[in-house]
Formats: sequence, structure tokens, C-alpha cells
Amino acid sequence: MKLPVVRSIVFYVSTLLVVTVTLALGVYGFLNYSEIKNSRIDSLKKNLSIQTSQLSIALALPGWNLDNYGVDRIIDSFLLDNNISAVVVDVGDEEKSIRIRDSNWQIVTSKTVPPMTSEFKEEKEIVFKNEVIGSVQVYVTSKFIQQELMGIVIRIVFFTFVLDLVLVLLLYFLLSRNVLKPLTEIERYAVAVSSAGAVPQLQMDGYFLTEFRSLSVSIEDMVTQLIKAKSDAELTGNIKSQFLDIAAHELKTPVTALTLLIDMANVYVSKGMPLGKTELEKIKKQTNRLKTLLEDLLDVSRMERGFLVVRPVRTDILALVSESVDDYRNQVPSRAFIFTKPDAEIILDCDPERINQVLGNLLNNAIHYSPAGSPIEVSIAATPAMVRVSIKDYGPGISKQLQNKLFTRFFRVVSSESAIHPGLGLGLYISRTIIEMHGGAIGLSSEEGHGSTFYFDLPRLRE
Amino acid sequence: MTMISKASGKILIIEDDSDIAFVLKTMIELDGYVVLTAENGQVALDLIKSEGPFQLIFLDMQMPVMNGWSFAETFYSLYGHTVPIVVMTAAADSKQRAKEVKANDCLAKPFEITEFQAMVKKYLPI
Repeated sequence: MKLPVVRSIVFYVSTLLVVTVTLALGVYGFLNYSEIKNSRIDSLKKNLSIQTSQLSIALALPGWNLDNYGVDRIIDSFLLDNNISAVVVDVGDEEKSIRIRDSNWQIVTSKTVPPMTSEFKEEKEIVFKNEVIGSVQVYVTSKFIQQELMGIVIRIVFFTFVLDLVLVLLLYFLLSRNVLKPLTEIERYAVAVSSAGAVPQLQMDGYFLTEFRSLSVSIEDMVTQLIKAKSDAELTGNIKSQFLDIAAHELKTPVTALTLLIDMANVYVSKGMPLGKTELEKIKKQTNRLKTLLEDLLDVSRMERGFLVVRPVRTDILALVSESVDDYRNQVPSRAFIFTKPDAEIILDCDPERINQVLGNLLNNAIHYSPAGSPIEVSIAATPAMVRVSIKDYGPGISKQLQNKLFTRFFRVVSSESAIHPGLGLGLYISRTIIEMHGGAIGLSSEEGHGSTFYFDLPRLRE
Repeated sequence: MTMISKASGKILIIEDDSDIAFVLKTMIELDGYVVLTAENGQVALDLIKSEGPFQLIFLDMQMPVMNGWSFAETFYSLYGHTVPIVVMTAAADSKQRAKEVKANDCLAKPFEITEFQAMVKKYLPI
């Protein structure tokens, strides 16, 4: 497909230039030709007038003497000029002396002047001592001028033809070197990009046409961006499918437990055995676990689509945190929850359910990732601008490397370290989104071996 | 109790979810087997040392401290392929997991109690 395109470029450009050059040289040649022709004919006419005058003067004496021999000699001396085609001298009563050139341009005596075309004629009186004794007619031909002009035309045509030929060859060479080859290189590059996964190099160093330079830069930029977009999409797709694997895996555990617990309940019922409170509590616990997983999945789905909403209402944040801590004291009696708060109540705008969700996530993490029996410290501190809720545990702490990933989406996928702990790894990502939707910030300070403190800041009401 | 102790064989269930372990243990004990549970691979190895030998091992794969892969590797290096191991996994390709740890069989989670009972009877017939 590339060849016709390049040929057509060469063809069009060559044709255009050849036509232009031919026209320019033709016009120049024509102007040159007519100028030369005019000047030659002018000088021919001027010469004719001078020669006729000279002849009339020279012929005065031999004419007066009726010296025919002398007249003929003088005429012949003038006929040495090749341009003069005929001389007619009329003196006295004698016959006219007529000397003309024959077809071979030889001088002959003739009785009459043959009709001549493209000739110029000049006639002068022959005067001797103020007396007109006769007349002389001189004919000149433009034949030699026309021959000279023909030569000029031939030279111009030849020169034009040679110049056209040189131009076409030069253009073809230049265009094929600078258009065909860069196009071939771009085509090679395009094929390489579409067939290979690796990014090839576009070799455009040798080509000086700015269009191809900028084109190659644009093409390379475009390809780089496309390849990046493709790998980003693949990476995201990959992470999402891995996340789906993890999600399915996580859901299977409570479903397995529930299936087995219900199977067991059936067996107990069929055997008439009493179903204990423990079994029912286990069913409740696994159902809650399933519910939490599904709620997290739903929240992430809402976040992805931008559907997650917070509905802020005037809330006493101290009471909210206090209730949440009390709930956990009841649910996990084995752990000590130490709660410190300022005396004055703090009212701010927040979605109590969502803030409870964040507190739950942070408290669950603290319980999960710290040794049994170690206390969990919840504290509230306030500045005029914001309120900070902190939850400190005495767990193993979190490495700096992991801290950066902790609040990101699909944290479980990108950090294999947490694979041994159950859960989807969505809690902190959801919490961060909820806090940020409140105009606040979430973070942690942790050192390996010294526990972790997770905190979130909520903006206070402006007075 | 209507339970008749007729089966023989000692079974080890390695499973980190206490509820799953509880139900499996309770139901199989009804059939007369002796069942011990371990919450991870390390606890299981300790139990095998102190309470072994077992005639059948059920193995969960993803567990904290020591997972199923590490357990299987250590177990084979210590005792060889002397005890049948049945893998219990929530992974999408459970059979592949079983192959990975050279297990005799696999149970794909979620499974029903009858499937589990059938697996026990397959290796330890009454």
C-alpha cells in the first residue's frame, strides 16, 4: 500500500515542478527571443540605411562618369555583406544595374528584381554636385537573423529539457530518500507495535524533514501512552480478578461454617438431641461475619460508582465514641478498653452510622492485631478546628512499607503479608473514604514492635 | 446418648475457623471416632508429636502461623506418606491445591456434613 502513495507524491511534486520550470524557462526564452529578434532587425535596418547612404555616395562619381565597371565594383564591394540580398542601381539612361543573390547565395546579374519576402528595402537618390543623377535600392534579408534566432530557440528548448530531467531525477532521489524511507520505517514500527508486546524504537535520526521528525515523536508518544494505558488496564483487571478470588474465598468460610452448623442442627433435631445456645450463637456469629463481608463489598461497589453517601447530622462525638467503646466492652469482655476524653461536650456534623462503622473497623483491627489480654486505648483530643479520635493497640506494629499501602483499594491483593489474616482488607479503604467525605483525614503512627495508633480527624463546626 | 462407639481411628482436623472445627469434631465423634483439632499447622505438628499417631488428617490451607502448604511439607519430611491427608479448601481450584501438597483427596468449601462423613468412611471404614 505504501508504494502507490509514495509514487503519487513523487509524481505530483515532479509534475508540478517540471511544469513550473518549463513554463518559467519558456517565458524567459520567449522574452529573450523576441528581444534578440527586435534588436537584430533594428540593427539590420539601421545598417541598411547607412549602407544605402554610403552606396549612394560611393556611386555618385562613377554614376556621373557612367563608369559601369566602377559601379559594379562598388556594388560588389557592398555585397560582401551577406545580409544584402540585392542591389538595384539606376543611373542615366542606361539599363539598371541589378545584382542579386541566387538560390546558392551567389552574386549574379539579373534583369529584374525577383519578388522577395521577409526582406527590407531602402532606396536613396544618387546626387552628384546637387544634381540627382539616379537612385539606388538595397535589399537586405533577415534570413541569417532567423537562423541565429532558431539556434537560440533550440538552445532554450534543450536547456529546459535537460533541467527538467535533472529536476525529476533529483526530486525522485530526494523524495524516495526522505519520504519513502521514513514512511517505510514508520510502517515497520507500526507492524512491530501491533505484533510484539515490547515497545520498539522508531529510527528517524537520518531523516531531516521536520514533518517526519514531529510525526515520529507524536507516534512514539501515542504508542507509549497506549501501551501504558493497556498495561494499566491489565493491571487493574488483574488486581480486580485477584480480589474477586479473595472475596469468594473469604465468603466461603462463613458459608461453610453455616452449612455445617445447620447440618448439625438437623442431625440434632432428627436424633432428638437438644440444640444448645452455643450452636445458635455460632450461627449468629457466622451470619454477622457474612453480613459484614457483604456490607464491605457493597460499600466498595458504591464507592467505585460514586454512590456512597454520608448524611451528616448534629452529633455529640464524645457520646458516639463512648457508646461504641461500651458496645465493644460488652462484646469482647476479655480485653480492656481504656477511654480518655475531654470534659466539655463536642458537637459536630457527621453521619453517626458511618463514623460508627469507621470506629468498628479500627477497633476490630486493634483487637485482631494485638495479643490477647493487651489493652486498647481510645482517646479523643480536640483543637478549635478539629477533633481527633485515636485508637492505640499494643500489637506488633506495622512496617513503613506496609503503612503506605494500608488505606488503598485492594490492599489484600497487593500485600501478600496480610494473606494469613481473614478478611477482605477493605475496612481501612472504606474508612478512609468515609472520613474524607466528612472533610477529615485518617492516618496512623506505628513502629514495629511498639504497637500502632490509628486516628481520624473530623472538622469542628465553625462558630 | 444414642451414640454407639463402633468406629475406630484417630482423626486430626487442622482448621483455623473454630466453628467449622467444632461442628466437624462433634459430628464425627457421634460416629465414634476420636477427633482432635488444631487451629494451625504448628499446633497440629505439636499435637502429632504428643498425641499421635493419627489415621487421617483433614487440612485447611489458609491459616495463620503455619499454613497448609508448610504443614504438608514438614509432615512428609518427618513422617513420609504414612497418613492420608484430605485438603479442605475454599480455593476455586481445590483439586489443584490437593495436587500441590500431594494430598490424597480434597473437599471443596463449602461442603455439607454428609460429604465430610463420607470422606471419613472412605479412609476409615466402620
